[in-house]
Amino acid sequence: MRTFYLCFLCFLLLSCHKVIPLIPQISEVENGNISIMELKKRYTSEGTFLKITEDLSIAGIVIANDETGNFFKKIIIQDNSGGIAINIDGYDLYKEYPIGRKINITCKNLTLNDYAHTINLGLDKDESNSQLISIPAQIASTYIKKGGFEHKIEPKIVKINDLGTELHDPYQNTLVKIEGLEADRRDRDKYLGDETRRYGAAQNYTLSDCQKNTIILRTSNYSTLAKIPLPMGNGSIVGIFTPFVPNNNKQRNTTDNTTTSSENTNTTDNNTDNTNNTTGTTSSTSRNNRQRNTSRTNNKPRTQKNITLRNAKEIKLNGPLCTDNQEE
Amino acid sequence: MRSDVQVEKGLAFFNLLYQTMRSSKFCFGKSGFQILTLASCTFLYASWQSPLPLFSQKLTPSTEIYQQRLHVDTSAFHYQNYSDFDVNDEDDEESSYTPVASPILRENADIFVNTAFFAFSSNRFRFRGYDYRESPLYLNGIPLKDLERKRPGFNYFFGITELLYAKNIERGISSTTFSPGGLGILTDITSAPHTFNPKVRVRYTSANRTYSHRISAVYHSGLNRRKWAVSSMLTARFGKGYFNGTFQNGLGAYLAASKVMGNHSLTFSTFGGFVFQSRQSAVLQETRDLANSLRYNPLWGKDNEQERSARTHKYYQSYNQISHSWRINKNAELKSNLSYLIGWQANSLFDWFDGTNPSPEYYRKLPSFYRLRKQNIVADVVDSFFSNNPESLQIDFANIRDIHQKSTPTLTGNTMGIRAHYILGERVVERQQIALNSTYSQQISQRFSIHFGLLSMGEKSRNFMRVADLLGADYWVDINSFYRAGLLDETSVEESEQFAQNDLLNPNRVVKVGGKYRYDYSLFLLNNQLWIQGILELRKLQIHLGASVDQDLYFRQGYTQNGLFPSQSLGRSKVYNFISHQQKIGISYKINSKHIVYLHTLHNSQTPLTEQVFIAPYMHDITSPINRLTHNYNLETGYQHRSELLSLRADFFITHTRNGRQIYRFYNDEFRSFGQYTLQNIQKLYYGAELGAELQLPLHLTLSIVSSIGNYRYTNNPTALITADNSPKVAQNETIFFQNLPIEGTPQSAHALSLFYRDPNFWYVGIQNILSYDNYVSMNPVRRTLRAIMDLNPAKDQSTINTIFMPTKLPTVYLMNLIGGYSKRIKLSLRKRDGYGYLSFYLNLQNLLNSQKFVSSAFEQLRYDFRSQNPNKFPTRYFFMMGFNYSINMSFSF
Repeated sequence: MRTFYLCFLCFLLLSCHKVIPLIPQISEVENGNISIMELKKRYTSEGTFLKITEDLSIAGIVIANDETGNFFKKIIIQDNSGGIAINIDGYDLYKEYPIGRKINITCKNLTLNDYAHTINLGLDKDESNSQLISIPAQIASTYIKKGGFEHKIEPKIVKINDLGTELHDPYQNTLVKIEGLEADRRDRDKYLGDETRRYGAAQNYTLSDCQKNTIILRTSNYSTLAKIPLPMGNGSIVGIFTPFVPNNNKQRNTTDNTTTSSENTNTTDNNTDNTNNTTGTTSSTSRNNRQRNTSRTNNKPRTQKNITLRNAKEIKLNGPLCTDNQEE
Repeated sequence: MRSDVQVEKGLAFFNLLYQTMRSSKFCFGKSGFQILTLASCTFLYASWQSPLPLFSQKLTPSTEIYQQRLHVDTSAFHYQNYSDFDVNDEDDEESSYTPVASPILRENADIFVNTAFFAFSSNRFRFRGYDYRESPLYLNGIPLKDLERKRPGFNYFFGITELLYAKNIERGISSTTFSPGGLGILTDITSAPHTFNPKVRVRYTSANRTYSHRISAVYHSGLNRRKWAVSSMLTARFGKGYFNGTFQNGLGAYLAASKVMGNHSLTFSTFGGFVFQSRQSAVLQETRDLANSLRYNPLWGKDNEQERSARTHKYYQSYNQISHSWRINKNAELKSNLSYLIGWQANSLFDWFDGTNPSPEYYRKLPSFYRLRKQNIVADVVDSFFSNNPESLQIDFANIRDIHQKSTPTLTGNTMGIRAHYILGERVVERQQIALNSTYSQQISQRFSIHFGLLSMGEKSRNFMRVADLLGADYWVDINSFYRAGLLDETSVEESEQFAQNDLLNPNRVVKVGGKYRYDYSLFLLNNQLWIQGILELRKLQIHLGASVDQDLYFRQGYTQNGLFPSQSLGRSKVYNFISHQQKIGISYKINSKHIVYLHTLHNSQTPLTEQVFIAPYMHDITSPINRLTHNYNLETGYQHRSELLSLRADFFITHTRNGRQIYRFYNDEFRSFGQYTLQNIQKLYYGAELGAELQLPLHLTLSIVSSIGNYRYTNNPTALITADNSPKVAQNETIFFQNLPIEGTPQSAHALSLFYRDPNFWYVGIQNILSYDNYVSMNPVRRTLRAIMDLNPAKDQSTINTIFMPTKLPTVYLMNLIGGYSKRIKLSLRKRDGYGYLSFYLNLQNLLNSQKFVSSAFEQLRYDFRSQNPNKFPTRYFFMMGFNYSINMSFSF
């Protein structure tokens, strides 16, 4: 019997069965061999396609993606020098590229192009329509290495006048915070987007600070933000800044939106093209202009500054209005 | 005083021992080897002092088997338990199979093996967690196995249980008599009519497991005056099985004749049969719930008002053997056998072109698909549809016939007619095998005996697909519908045409019922084995030493030229040749007549199987790189007690496996094609303890306890070679994070407590309580990669990451079984010699509590969606255990 107990004891010792899987950690990606701004500065003349043939790589933190639908088929990354949009032909990119994730992009064989002065990185030039081909999502992993999560990028607090519209403006495609903004009184009871007008992809509202500097708040009609009412107070907005500088030959603009007439706020841009469908960040193409239902004719495209929200929390227009506007 | 000759022999033996150990030095490491040498030499020297051999001579097993034979009728319940089993020839894609526990008779000395396999056979318990190939089955010393997978051929018997009575069971690591041994349990069946008493028996069985009825008839002539003996058996199994849509219809026959001529005996045996069956499938919990049936099985549907299974298994085989046994003198015996096997099997399945998967369990048809997409309203509609129309959870043959009926006839080649969108195809394997072996045993001295054996097996297996039913269409076109997804845009039309061909020699071939399609190739395999074993028996000590060398040789011969792999599919592949070896050594020390302690070790290397080497033999002859053979290092120590009241055996074992290989074939979403993950360099560690005890209690009661507690784990992160069937280009390596994860597919721990009452008035009853646990769902390697969790943020999604990596433990199984039997002697005037007939009843009731939630095994589907990284998109599939099931058996013998 003693033997029996001994064996039984040994059995008990053996039966500890704790399974602790060895879960690999996602390793952080390396820094690029040049900064985002250095890469962008290689692109010098607007409306061209620059294929990168050298072994260049950039790294940055994702600051915007398609999670709310306000950006479509693109992600925006930022490092200390600046930001850039990466055009990726795919849906639900936010799952792979959540905000705060660091990624490294091998730029060789990719192509730079600008859209109304906003520089984008894509696959190649589409010879058929002279637009930038996006990187197909299924092959994105050959160029993009994904790293760690939860990197924080704080928005830079700027004034509208700090934001430039030239190709290499440091604020382009970066996260900025502008304070003291308010919407036009005539846009009362409007929504950020117009869900009924999905053919027009985005809704524009002019916001101004108390010094009457203006910036356009652009929201995709497909976005989940579209149903949020436009707040009528004064406050801050955090978003991605992009310039819109139309090239007369190629890109005529929706400049009418820069005025805040109620007539014009209904005017929308038709950004249905996949490759350039940047719904929020830039304005539209000439084709869209022709489709627009606007009373104005011969409106000359005008340079403008756009800001695009990433989520509903970033619009805080709830304070007292500028004194000028409070008269009514 | 010991004579000089004895001392010399002793020294020679020490030397032999030393040499063997030196050759197996690498398995212990240098310092370990030195310690071992020192210890064993000291031990040996001490025992050398005692002059009389104590271990009984155990030269031939046949006398023992004859003794076993006499006890067979009293232990009918043992035999009954394995009469039902069958190797469930697995689905290739799902790498699952019904395992078979080795059937063991009680009379064998190994109390653990006897009781454990009897008790745990329904739990898919694998001895020490090893693969089934480690526990082989032999017939007169020739392995009953196919050379491709080397799995024991328990399906060779077709219900011919008569063959299974006479057998010799040995642990491969101990001293063995008919084979070189190995890690597991070896079972050698003897077909020797001259060892049977004359007997006629008819038997009827009613059951609700894999069939409903079984009838059998047995005749043994016994050895007549002219020294001839004949044994034969005929058996038929038929009727429905436990799960819906399952059935089994089959016939088995056995005939053997032997002639004894002085010291020689010659036996010719032939057995075989045919079976047509449909088996239980692994089901999703979701469909089982929707069907609201515990016996739900999605593999069948109504076709022209008849129940029809889409996945059937047809199997025909004939096994023939000539055995010669020669008792050369008192101390030597030579046994030789020549065998020939011929057979085929055909497993049916759906094939489709330009259509969707007709399985009712296809994930896009189920409510969960919509729930994952957050379309809850649609999900609810689908859910209530299935609940109200349970027939929708079966295969819709009528719809398929309808599709074909409404199709417009098209012209392919010269054939005008309806091109099939769906067919029932059959995966056919035609196998021929020839084997030859010889075993020579010699008692050299009173203390020393040797066994020597050689074996040669050659096999050809031809594999192809065949159209079984066009389901109302006129023809099927033999092209590969999956090739497209792997191609790039720049592929030209001509190239694309070429890639789509399964056979460039017969492009766009029109196939009718019975015609071959998709693939056609043969594997030629040869296995040669040479082994030797010496057993030294001293007064208190027994030492055995064994070694063997194996040569495996194989190649593939393709008969079609695949469009994607034109230069790697047609004709003969390279010939692959491997040499593997095995060494073992064991010492037993007899403390006194009741107590024995022992220590056994074994090291072997194993040739990779063809199925692990040829990545996709049905497409091409490309192999994964073969750098190293698999190595197993095994150590076992134990204690055995035998007295009138108690038999006990307790063992501790540890096994380390290096360079293991495993291949997973499945539909890979990433490449939108079937593909493979070939895992290489898998390391595993098995350790645990076993206990078997049988206690004779008063009042004719016997209490038996069997326990096996194990801990079987992967100890490294193997590398997977990822390949796809639709492109020669896709080949990448990836690390699979298996370290620390448990080895799946078997309960790692199992216990049984049984109480038997044997009444002197020829009846008995027994109750068994079986508990098994630590059984894990077979893991999908794709889920244990960095890529599988690449987009999950550990800060937010840690629980999802854990779910993806953590293996699922199956619920603890508790079964209560009841066994009973009664035998009545009836006076007969028919026969002079005996004058008595025996009417026997036997009852085996399993799962008395009728628990339906137990799972015998389960596997994670190998499809994994990298985009959603949600493991529930392709959920686990389960093989549920039967609820209450029975087998009632009546027999009459005289």
